[in-house]
Amino acid sequence: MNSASEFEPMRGRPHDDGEPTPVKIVVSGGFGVGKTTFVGAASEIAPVRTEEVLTDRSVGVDDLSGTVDKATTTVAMDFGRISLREQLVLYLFGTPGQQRFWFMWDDLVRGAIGAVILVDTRRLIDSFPVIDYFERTNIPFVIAVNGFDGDFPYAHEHLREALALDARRPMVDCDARDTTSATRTLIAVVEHALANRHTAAPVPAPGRNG
Amino acid sequence: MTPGEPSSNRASPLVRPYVLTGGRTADEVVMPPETLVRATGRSPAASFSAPSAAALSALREGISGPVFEPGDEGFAVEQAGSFGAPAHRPLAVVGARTSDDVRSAVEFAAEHGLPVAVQSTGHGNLSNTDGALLISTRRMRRLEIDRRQRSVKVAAGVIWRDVIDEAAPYRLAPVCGSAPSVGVIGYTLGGGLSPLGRTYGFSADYVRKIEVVTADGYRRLVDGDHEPDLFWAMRGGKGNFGVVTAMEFGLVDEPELYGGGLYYDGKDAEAVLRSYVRWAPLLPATMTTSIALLGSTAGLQLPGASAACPLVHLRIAHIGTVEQGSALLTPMRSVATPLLDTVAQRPFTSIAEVHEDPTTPIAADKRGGVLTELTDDTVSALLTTMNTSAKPVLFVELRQLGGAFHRYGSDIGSVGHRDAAYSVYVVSAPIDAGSSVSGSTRLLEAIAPWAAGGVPVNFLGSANAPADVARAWDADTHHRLIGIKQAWDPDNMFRFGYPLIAPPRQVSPEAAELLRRCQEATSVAELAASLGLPLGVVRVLLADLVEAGMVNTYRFDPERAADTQLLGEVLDELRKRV
Ligand SMILES: Cc1cc2nc3c(=O)[nH]c(=O)nc-3n(C[C@H](O)[C@H](O)[C@H](O)COP(=O)(O)OP(=O)(O)OC[C@H]3O[C@@H](n4cnc5c(N)ncnc54)[C@H](O)[C@@H]3O)c2cc1C
Ligand SMILES: Nc1nc2c(ncn2[C@@H]2O[C@H](COP(=O)(O)OP(=O)(O)OP(=O)(O)O)[C@@H](O)[C@H]2O)c(=O)[nH]1
Ligand SMILES: [Mg+2]
Repeated sequence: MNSASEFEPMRGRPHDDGEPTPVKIVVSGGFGVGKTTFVGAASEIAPVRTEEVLTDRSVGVDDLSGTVDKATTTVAMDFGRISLREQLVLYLFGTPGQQRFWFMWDDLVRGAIGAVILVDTRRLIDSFPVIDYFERTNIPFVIAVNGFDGDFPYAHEHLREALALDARRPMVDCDARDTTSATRTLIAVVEHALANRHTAAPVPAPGRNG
Repeated sequence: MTPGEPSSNRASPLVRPYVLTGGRTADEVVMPPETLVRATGRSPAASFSAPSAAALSALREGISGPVFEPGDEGFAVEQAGSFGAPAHRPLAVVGARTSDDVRSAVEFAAEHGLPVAVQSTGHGNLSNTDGALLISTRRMRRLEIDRRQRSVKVAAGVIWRDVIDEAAPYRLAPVCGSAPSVGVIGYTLGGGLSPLGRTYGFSADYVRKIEVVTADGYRRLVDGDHEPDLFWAMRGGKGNFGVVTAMEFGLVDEPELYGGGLYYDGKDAEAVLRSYVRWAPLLPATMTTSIALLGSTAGLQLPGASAACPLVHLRIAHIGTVEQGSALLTPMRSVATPLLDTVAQRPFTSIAEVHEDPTTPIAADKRGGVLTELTDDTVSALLTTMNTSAKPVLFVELRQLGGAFHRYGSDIGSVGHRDAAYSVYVVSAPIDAGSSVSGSTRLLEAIAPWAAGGVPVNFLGSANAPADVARAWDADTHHRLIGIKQAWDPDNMFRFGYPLIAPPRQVSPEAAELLRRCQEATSVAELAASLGLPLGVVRVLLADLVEAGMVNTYRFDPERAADTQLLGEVLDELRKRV
């Protein structure tokens, strides 16, 4: 301890660097549509996978060691990060694939500033339940058409009709592998969130049959 | 399962399987994966290695007083103090002679990451000081009276007896506690409920300056102009902020004391207490009273045959003439014939006769509280519990507050519950193995309808956990004290004797690893991924660390998802990237 110092310092005051703010955007869509690829392209870090273990019964933290029983399921979520500025970090979360775990989606979307729903025009039907899900939340979302190999064979109005989307629902083309394209998609989400912030009520959707 | 229905599967039998030690499940810990986590700087309990023999002998060299290690001759005596604190086992005891000794000891503790305990007399029942460096101040008995300033400066080990006796020749007196053998510093840091308090206020109200060695090893003189926050906190915040080496406080003109005690037979207990309930609230602030129920007559020399228990002991300290005092006391003298009546005009130096506190410790469970009022029903509850409790309550004391105790002002310290009507202090047999509650807990439960929920810090007794200690102040005062504690003693070096914050916890290796990884703000998801642990596990580990004050979490407030300014900032930053 330095007692020779002339002034009397306050040792180890708790550091107070201000409060960091985490914001998040959820990346969703049907199976194999490019969610992981999108998160990876947009993120400044390699896409990371975090896991949640689910079971039908509770165990103590202490008994973690190897006693994972048969009823246990692992659900994976991709996530990425964009450090926007000091104290403001944007997190991207890919929704877990298996649709049994909708309740985990609720946790993920709570507090999200917006969502991207990726669609693959070859398998539109896969995105129906996802769009249904998000329409029932208040989360502003945009539809991003992932044109595999730069292929966008359908006009937006056709897709809109096929997906039974409201005319105001933003729709963009994107290449999930490309950082700029993915970032532009995120920009579209935030723009929509800004424009949408007064219309809190979910957009009513016409019927959609999977 | 029907897709597309938010929350529809909440009823799913699937759960995150992890349960906290306290029974909380991962699902109850609200911590979305983007939540940012940052270490506060509070470290987990270091698995500190005791200082080497060489380091300890260097300490011995640097201290003018003796240093005792367990096994050394004198260790037990030093550890017990004059009042006989229960056995505890500090790493070493520094028998400080000077404030430099105190500073060297604190520096040594800081260097080795040791917590520091302080003891002067042992009235505070210090316990569980394992691994701590105990600073024993009992050799520091110097005091200086300043007649012109009507003040006294006392060193750390001075007891009330010293001040009372030294001040008397100058016709001055301290606003002291009920027992002259109690240490001035430990008592005053806790506010100090004086048997003269209705006339003079809390003892802490008289403090003018404090010399203290803080956790950083510096000695500071604090008063209203220097570190006023610390000065405020130390006048009522107990020993949380440093080791006091000296204290200066004001004295009062020697009071004209008419005081003593009235002992009544237990068969009159109900009548006496019911009269007290009516009599006490009408008293002027010149009279301070308290009333105690004694579960046993052991140790008392009472005239006459065997008296029934609980014995009632009414204590009186009146400042004024005998005539005024005895006139005020008449109703209590006539409600029943006391077995013994010692109330008389007496020199202030015999102030101990007012309470006649025990001079030896007993192993017991002690608890306190404050009451908003005292009624006939309170009396019934008290007596019923005293008489029927399987575990006998040994002692209940009600001290009447009000008068100058109610003093408020900007120059006043952090003493809590100034507006209460009575304090209560209960002593019962220790909790035995078969039961989880003591007689004192039971008694306090019985009178809970009249309690304000708080307790004077000096009467916390056996309740030594931060959650108990919190009850010594209202929420705002407590919050302010915690802030000052964290600024001055972030590592909780002073964590014995009613600590404001919990001692650092031992943490699991996983939690320790988590702490290492969140020195910079890091998201829960990243922590989970980098540790290869499921999110649920990380959540519960973090919840524990939050509780231990080791990490802060920063959640996004969902309300802000529609915050135009925030969205605008996000948009600007994203646009810069394309
Ligand atoms: C018989 C008896 C009568 C009492 N009467 C009253 C009363 O009338 N009014 C009242 O308010 N309280 C009273 N008390 C409670 C008493 O004020 C506390 O127990 C007080 O802590 C005793 O201080 P001490 O220095 O004598 O005890 P110790 O056991 O030596 O110290 C107790 C604690 O005080 C703190 N402390 C002591 N010295 C220092 C220091 N130099 N620097 C920092 N912290 C220090 C430490 O936290 C220490 O653990 C009484 C207690 C007893 C046993
Ligand atoms: N050619 C091409 N391939 C793509 C594109 N986007 C994704 N892919 C590929 O499509 C496959 C699935 O992509 P992922 O990103 O894993 O899709 P996902 O939505 O995360 O899949 P799940 O998590 O299994 O539901 C991978 O082999 C990707 O490399 C794209 O724009 N063009
Ligand atoms: Mg994927």
